[in-house]
Amino acid sequence: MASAIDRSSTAGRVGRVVFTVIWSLMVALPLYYLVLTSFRTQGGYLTSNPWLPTGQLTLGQYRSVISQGFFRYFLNSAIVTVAAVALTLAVSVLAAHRVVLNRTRLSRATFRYLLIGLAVPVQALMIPVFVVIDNAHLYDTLAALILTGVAFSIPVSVLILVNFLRVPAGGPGRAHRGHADRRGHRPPGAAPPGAPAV
Amino acid sequence: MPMSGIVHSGTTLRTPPTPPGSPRAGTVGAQRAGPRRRARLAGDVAGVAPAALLYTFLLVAPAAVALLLSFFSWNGVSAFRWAGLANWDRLFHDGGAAHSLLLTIVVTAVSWFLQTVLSMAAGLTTARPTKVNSALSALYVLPLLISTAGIGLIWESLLAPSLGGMAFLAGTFHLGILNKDWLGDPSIVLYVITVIVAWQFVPFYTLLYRTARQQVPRTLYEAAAIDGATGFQAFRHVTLPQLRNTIASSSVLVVIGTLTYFDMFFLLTDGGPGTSSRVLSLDMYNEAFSSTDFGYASVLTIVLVLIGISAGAVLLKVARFSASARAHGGE
Repeated sequence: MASAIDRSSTAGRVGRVVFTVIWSLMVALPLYYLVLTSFRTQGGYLTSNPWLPTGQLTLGQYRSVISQGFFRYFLNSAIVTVAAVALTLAVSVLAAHRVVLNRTRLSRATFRYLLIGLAVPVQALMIPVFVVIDNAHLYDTLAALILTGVAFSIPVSVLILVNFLRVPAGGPGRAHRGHADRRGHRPPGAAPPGAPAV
Repeated sequence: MPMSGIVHSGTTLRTPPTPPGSPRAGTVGAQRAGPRRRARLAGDVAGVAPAALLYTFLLVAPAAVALLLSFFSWNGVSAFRWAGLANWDRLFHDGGAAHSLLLTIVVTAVSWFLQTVLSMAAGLTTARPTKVNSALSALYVLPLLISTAGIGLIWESLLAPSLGGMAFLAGTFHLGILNKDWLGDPSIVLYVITVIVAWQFVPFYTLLYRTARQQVPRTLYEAAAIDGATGFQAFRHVTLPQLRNTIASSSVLVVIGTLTYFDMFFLLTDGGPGTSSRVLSLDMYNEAFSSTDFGYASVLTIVLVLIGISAGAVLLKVARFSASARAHGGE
């Protein structure tokens, strides 16, 4: 069925294969190198072929990572990630939904206001962010990381969500024309248009 | 420029017309129906407030603090001292900042081209849900799982002169062209880092393009095929117009992200050798933390923010983002 639609020329197919091979290698080789290097001792790195699993391989690096408090750090990362993603999604979906659904002056102005944030360099704001966090008595807490993470992800998240909710085939327009009523009840099997973006 | 639809098919396929009762069309009616309008406004406020508040306190407020700081002299420890326009005046006599700005513009332009082409190619070639494509997509997304520091380490060790993986390959296969001091040669270092940055961020945009391509209605390609469109014509007249919003958002993200990107440059070269990779964001960082001149660093911050905002506005204009937004609200 697909071939009836796919009328790629030979050149197109060759180009596709060439790109796929080159890009796959470009992605895979550094990762392979990383994994291999992680099994080497400092000395082994210097003496053996860096691309082949020969010479002395060791799990020592992994042991030392774990003995240095890896699980505590991992737990911190996990808490920050889960909380930040959940919070970002919650506030961004709410906002994007209103922006697309109701084109009121308020929602449009808010959207533009949020987009400006895309241009603000995070690193540049290190000092002033610290001042704000410190004044809110959140310094040295995971909450500080979560909240700043959320604040800096809101513009990108809202932009992506709004663009997906606006795609011609989906969006509230279609939802209102029969696929879903105002409360969002959809016929069984119909995916909400924002799902892939989320 | 054909804004939407494919031309060969006789009927122009385009964005469905605005349904009745949707936003712009409803404005007039809404003024009559007072309570409903108020309810909608209340819903809007409740919907956008959490995002807007978080964003205001942790992003806009700090930016305002930076603007304020640009008029002060502050080393991070002592009291603020009013400096008037001295910091801003210095900007116009700072050859180093001009050089850094030029590097930033080069990196941004090359990154935009490289990342857009690579991610579109990777996203479109893996869009059809076959087993091979799923495996390829899983591979393509992997760099996204590694932190900037991790990616910096991988490439630093790969590119290390004489001991790195690249130098080993060069020695084994007698490929002199691979035997370079990748991060130590002032003439190429900027481009080497740009490629590494692309390696880091293309996976994200690949996801965007892949998902967007999967959202293009199949019927458009069927119509194009019936009209005898070749693969390239279908790409030119169906895929590209349908991806317009994705191209616009990914371009904005690449350009603004690159303008202000700093981590990889800091990790790999810290601007060196000399100042050959000292991009503006790094210049700003060094002014703040090496020279502890937070006032002047804030000037550079504001400059970067302004360049970012202007670039974003121009790109959105070019992509007719606002035009399509208006069209959606009723033409």
